[in-house]
Amino acid sequence: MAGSRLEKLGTIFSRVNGLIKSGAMKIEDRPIWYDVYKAFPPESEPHYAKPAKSYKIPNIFYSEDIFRAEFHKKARNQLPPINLREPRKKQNATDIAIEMNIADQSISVEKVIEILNKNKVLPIYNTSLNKISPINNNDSTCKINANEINTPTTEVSSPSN
Amino acid sequence: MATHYLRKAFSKNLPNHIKSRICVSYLSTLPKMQHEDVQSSYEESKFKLSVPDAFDVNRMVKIKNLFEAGVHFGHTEGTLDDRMKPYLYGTRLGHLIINLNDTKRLLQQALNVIAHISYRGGVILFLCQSPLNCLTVENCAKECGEYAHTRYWRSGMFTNSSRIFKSETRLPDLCIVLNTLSSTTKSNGGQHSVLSDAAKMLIPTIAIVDTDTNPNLVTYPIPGNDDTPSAITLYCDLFKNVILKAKDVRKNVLNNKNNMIEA
Repeated sequence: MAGSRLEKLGTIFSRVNGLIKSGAMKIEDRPIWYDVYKAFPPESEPHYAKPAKSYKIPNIFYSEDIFRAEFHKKARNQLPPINLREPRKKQNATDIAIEMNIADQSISVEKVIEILNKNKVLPIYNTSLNKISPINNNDSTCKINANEINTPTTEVSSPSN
Repeated sequence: MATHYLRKAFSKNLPNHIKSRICVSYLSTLPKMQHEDVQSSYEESKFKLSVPDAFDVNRMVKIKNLFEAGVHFGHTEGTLDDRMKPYLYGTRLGHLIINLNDTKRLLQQALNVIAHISYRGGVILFLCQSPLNCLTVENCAKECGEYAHTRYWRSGMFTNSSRIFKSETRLPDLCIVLNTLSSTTKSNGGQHSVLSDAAKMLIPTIAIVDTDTNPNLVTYPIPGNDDTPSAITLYCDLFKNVILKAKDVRKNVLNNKNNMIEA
């Protein structure tokens, strides 16, 4: 078929138009998309050398971002995995936490995490349990730890060893 | 593309499913020497093109579905291609967010074009080079009776097709590219070579363009996330549904035509 293979000059439409005008392509031999393109031209012509316009890209911030950052810092190890194969239908743990924060601004992050743990939104992993919150495990150990902290460091290390 | 000069050669000894692909003269839209009954069909297809939304595609795209599938997630700010700037909503802590209003509008237009080309019997080729989404794309093409190419793009597949496939080759009429950047292509800055090859061979392209790609050579670019499986599944479903719908309409029109000629 006749046709220029210089894709960097003009658009596919202008090139086919040129072929038809010059008689190299008969009008009944035109490609299927020609009429469709004529009826629905793209918003910006597909030129190869179309210059980029300058736009300013705004930053996106929300008022609840501070709470979100704090929540992620504390609950990072407990957040459940996200399924990339399916569209997000249900709320995830972060959404629920932020909704709780919006409903009650004064609520603390620890309190939110505790409620989510209780509701089984945030699963409690054994590994993260030992590392993050040995104090919240049960009340008796909590008291012992508190006593140990008040005593000098040499004495703290000796009973644990 | 390339139907016209192959029409005679192909119309002799071919199975029916390929015969139906060859553009029937009375479905093309500009006036020529025609019979009485053929002209009425010409009116019909002309009418279809003058209607802004003949296949009712505008209702298929909902911003909520796009959002849930994660279509708005772009790449990081450092990888931004300046030519994608008009389609951006903003940047969220260094990650770009695509404006879904633009995505919706351009996706609707692209779906409309797909429907019209499919209605005219055009051959559609799906392309994708991300290994994660290959199977989705191939299955989508299979289910709507079109073609897919999801492997390494050998140079000259379009431009030197008769040599590569060792016979006269019917090129597609429309390329749908679901992933324009890939690590396997070294030329053009990693861009899928089909974009320049299709432009060379006067084939229109519809492509999902992420924030790090160059949309200039794409005839109908759709800004959107081109990596996430859920987003690719959404695009594939939309394309599949619209192609099946257009093929249905085409089948009905052809059947009516045949009945009229018999009666």
